[in-house]
Amino acid sequence: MGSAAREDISTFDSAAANIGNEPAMRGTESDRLDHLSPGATGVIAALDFEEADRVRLMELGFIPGSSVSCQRVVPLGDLAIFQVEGTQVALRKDTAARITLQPSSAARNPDADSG
Amino acid sequence: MPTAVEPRSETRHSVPVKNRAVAICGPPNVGKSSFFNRLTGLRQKVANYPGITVEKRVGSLKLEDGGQVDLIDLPGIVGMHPRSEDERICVEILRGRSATLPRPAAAILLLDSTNLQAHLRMVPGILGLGLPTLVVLNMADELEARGGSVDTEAVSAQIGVPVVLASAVTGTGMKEVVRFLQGSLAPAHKVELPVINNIPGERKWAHSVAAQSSYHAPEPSLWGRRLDRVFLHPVGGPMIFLAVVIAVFQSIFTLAVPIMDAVESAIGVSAGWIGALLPDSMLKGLLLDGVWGGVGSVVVFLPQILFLFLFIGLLEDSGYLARAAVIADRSMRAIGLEGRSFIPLLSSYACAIPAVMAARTIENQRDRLATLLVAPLTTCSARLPVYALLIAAFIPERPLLGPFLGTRAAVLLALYAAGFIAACGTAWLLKSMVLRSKPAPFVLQLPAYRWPTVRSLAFRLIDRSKIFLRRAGTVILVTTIVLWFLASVPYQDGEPPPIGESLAGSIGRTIEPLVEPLGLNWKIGIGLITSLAAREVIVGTLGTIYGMEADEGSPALQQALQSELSFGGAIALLMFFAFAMQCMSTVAIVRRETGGWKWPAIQFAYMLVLAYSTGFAAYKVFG
Repeated sequence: MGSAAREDISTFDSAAANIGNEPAMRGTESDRLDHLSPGATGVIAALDFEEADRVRLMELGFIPGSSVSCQRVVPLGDLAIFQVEGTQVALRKDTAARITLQPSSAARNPDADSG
Repeated sequence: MPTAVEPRSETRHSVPVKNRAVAICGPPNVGKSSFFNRLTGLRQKVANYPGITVEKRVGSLKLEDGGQVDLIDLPGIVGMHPRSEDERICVEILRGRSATLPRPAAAILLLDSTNLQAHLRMVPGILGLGLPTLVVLNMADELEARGGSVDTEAVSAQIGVPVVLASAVTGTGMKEVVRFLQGSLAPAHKVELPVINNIPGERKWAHSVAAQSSYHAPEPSLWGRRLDRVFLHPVGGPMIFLAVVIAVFQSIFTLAVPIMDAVESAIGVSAGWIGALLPDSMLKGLLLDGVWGGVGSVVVFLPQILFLFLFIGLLEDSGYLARAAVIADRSMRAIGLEGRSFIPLLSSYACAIPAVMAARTIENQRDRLATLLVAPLTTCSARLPVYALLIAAFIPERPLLGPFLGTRAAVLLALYAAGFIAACGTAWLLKSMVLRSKPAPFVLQLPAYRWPTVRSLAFRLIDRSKIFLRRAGTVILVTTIVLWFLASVPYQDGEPPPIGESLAGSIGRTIEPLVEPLGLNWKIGIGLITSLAAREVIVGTLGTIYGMEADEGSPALQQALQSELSFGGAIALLMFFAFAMQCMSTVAIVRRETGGWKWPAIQFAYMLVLAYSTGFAAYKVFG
């Protein structure tokens, strides 16, 4: 994983600033999964849930280091469908908001981990 | 951090497992059920919704050498950290901690070959159980069709157990699976697997195994996304859902009716033969009026029920149902439940019993309780014969939307909607008062769209016919015979009494004051009592009562009802059946699932009050 990217996770503003400078990215990418716009891809950094929920989300593919793409926002904008670890998963917006992305990851990154 | 583990390899290798139990496990939607069907030929529900396999299914396979293997089809798991009831059952069985099933002698881990990197993550956890294991990479046909490939030898060399690429749909690789069960599959070389106790580590390991097995992931299927674009469209999605539902109901009346007419005349003709064969006796009366009149009038509805299940099967197997849950999530949330509760509620349209059990997949215990308490309010298929009979007798058929929707289908649709609204309203009441809980994160896996196979649909229909006919042959037959005796005593001058003076008649008259406010007479009252055994029994009961009353041949049940019931009474009866918990099997299953009589008692009383008051109101309005 990019260690430089990691330092930025905690600070919203600097992450946002980095994003603004990144020409390869589209639209509103920022460091939260619910901000990923349809068609965009990011890499998961962390999950902010109690342990049991966190484990369940990881088992369903939301694993730090996994690349995730937003496929579509569903009727009335409450749910979004993500492609992660080869499966399609629907999440409510409030759940997605608690999953952070690596700030510089919004461009299509091949997995750094998969070797 | 990955560390080495003591080798348990001798137990992980292929060993003879003859005459033993073998567990089939793996993530949801990898085709476990079709795989199981392929091996055993025994019926097993194949569904695309994660976790629908809520009951363990056991089937057996005869081996060439005369031995036998019992196969257990376990509910899908996504890891070794179970959260819902069905996942807990699966992990308990695999660990040998189940109270009801002994520890299996071996395991088959079924993975989806089209998504190998992600699924290999399951391997360390399952192999860590120390059972002899075969890893089956299923859906080989899909992998190949979409241009993917994998070197199974290389996977096997890295994980230390035999690996087979197979397709439960086409049968590829199934011979090797049978060889594993016979103990004649060559063992893999021993490998010491790393023990990884964190999921990111497992993921890393899985990706590396896939990479070193020259795994080429298949091209993503584009038409899946195109279908999502249509089915999850903000406006189009809900409209398509509505159109699908209307089409299902319309076809229940239009397509099924000719088949039902054929069944009905077959029963009539056979009754004529029996009548001609047997001398006049009590036995003849029992056979003709009791068995043929009672059971026969229920069996007539089999085609309609099969049509309903055919459509539910198509929706489930194609993967559409999970999309419907996504569309439904927002409305389910408004009543305090989540999209996941939608699936048990939908399957309770078939029968409340599997629905109550399917609620096990709901992780939040309060949501689970609310779901299983309201499930019997949705319109199960046992109500269909009652609805169909009353609608055909009292609602004239007129087109409403051209050829697409007639009045009868519309009334049926309204009854289904009434059940659904009652279920939602009750859920909202429960969730906002006694079963309040903080919302859990909502996560729903969407299975890939697949063509439903004829094989799997046929399995469903055969199974459903068996269940229906078994009910007709047991519960319905017994209540019909008991009723026939009650209606035949006391003998007057060596002859059965007129029905009104029989024992059944006097019981009916005793309860008549209770059903009179709903515009119902004592004959229907008897039907309400017998239908406590199962809802459709009322049809058989009325068949028996009117069959015995008739002087020359039995008048069509519809005509008999038309002369006995007012329009308002018919609507009241429909309302009563829509809401009352006329099903002892459901009471029993709710007691089992909630661990006591408290909840089923509350549920039964609540539904009875709801049924009686809406029936009363309907009779006042339409009477």
